[in-house]
Amino acid sequence: MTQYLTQKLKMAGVAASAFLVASCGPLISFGDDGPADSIYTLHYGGIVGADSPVGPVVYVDSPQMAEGLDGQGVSVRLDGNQRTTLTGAGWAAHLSDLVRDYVTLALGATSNANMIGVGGLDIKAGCRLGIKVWAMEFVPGLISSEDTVDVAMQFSLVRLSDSKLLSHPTFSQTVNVQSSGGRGIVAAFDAAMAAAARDYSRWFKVESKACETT
Amino acid sequence: METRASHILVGSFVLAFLAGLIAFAVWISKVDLDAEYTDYDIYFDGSVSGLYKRSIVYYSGIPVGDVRDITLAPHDAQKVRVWVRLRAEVPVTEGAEAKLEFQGLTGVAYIELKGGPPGGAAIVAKEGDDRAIIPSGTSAFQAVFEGAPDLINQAIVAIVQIQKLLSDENIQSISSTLKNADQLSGNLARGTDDIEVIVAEARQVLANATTAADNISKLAASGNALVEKDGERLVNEAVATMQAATDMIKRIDGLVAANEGGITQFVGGSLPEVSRMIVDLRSTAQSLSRLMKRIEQNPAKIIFGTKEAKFDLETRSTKDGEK
Repeated sequence: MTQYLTQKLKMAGVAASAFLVASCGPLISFGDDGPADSIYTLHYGGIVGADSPVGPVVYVDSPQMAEGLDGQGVSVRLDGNQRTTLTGAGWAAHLSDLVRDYVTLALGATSNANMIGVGGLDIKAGCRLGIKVWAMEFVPGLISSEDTVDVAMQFSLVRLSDSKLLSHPTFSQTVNVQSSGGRGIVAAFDAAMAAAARDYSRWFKVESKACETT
Repeated sequence: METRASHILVGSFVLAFLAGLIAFAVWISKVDLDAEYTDYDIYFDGSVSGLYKRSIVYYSGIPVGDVRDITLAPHDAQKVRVWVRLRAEVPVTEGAEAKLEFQGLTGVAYIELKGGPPGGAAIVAKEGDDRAIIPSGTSAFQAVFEGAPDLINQAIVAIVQIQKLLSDENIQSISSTLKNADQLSGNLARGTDDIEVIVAEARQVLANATTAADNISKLAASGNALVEKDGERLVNEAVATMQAATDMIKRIDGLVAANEGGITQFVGGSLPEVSRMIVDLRSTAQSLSRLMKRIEQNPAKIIFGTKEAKFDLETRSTKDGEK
């Protein structure tokens, strides 16, 4: 008899606990769904580089992003040093990963170097390419035709055999946004990255010769 | 009836009275009727002021005669001749000397004789001299009186020099010097404690040095004992250790030779990769550190995101963005 009563009481306690937990549901919010963001990525439009057995191996380090640039939001620079992100749009991955992949593809396509990106830690490399992204942001104007995007990147080419800094240049581009909306902005980012890639590819073609491994 | 006097008796009585009176006078005047005297002349240079006839002549402090006459020397007016009469038993021999002395501050002079060496010949009168001549000397008083004028002059000169020395400027200098000396002595007195401390510290240092020297001596002695007794054992152990180390190096050398390819690959290839991995790990650690700080400051911001004013392309303005 006593055991029966005890079992009933336990069941009643479990039921009451379940009720209380269920009652707390409205108190915990994980945010409303709202309209879905448009997700974009950087697209390198060039030719992917072929295997180059005689070229130097260069390890592309993960880029260091300036404050406010890292993340998956599209960074917006407003007047008065105000910084925010674009509503309704975002990057498909962390911007640093997108930039790293873009640079790896661009330099691999325009030079005879073997560019090693993510997952290349076990490969013996002649140089390490460090990237500091100073600007990768949308700058709205007074009217839509004045909107621009700014891209600025600083490269550090380090020879690993003697840890010597071979070169340390900065490349920047500003491109007008041709069309409205998120697509137009991302297209401008692609254009700016392509223009910058042309500049740093020329630089890398010359400097990477010092990374030749014997 | 008329009293008849005895003239013989009266006459005898008067004569006896007179004889007694004379004897009494002689006794009273201490006249030495049997005494014999010798006269001398003494020639003094300069003044004999204070000396008169009947002045006493002393011999070693004993009155032995007197001055009979004082006159200028017959052949030299610069000198004074004093005629004295001395008792005959006074030993006036060769070497004797007469000095003019004075009694206290009364100015009364007397003559003091100092005898010659014992056994000397008596002074006798020479031919042409009335009496024997006792040589004279200069007494202390005479020297003082004779030298007094020079002494006074010198004293005056000294006083002038002292006055020059004690000029206001020199007094000021002396005062300054004394003040400095006083200050110096004060500083010395105040610094006595420090000096005592320094001396105590120096003593302590010396004691420590002595102790250290003793310890070094003991250490040297023990070192000698160590070398003599335990040295051989230590050398043997060292030799054994070196042999073991040599064997180990040989084994390592063989191991390296057997795996030269792998080791070369590790050194040439893996080390730079490890270096790159360390760079990546450092970056990851930095990101984690930043994340942890943000979680510590505002955990809700990490979970639910930052409430910020996003830029709307349609309105071309920012609004409180909420997903």
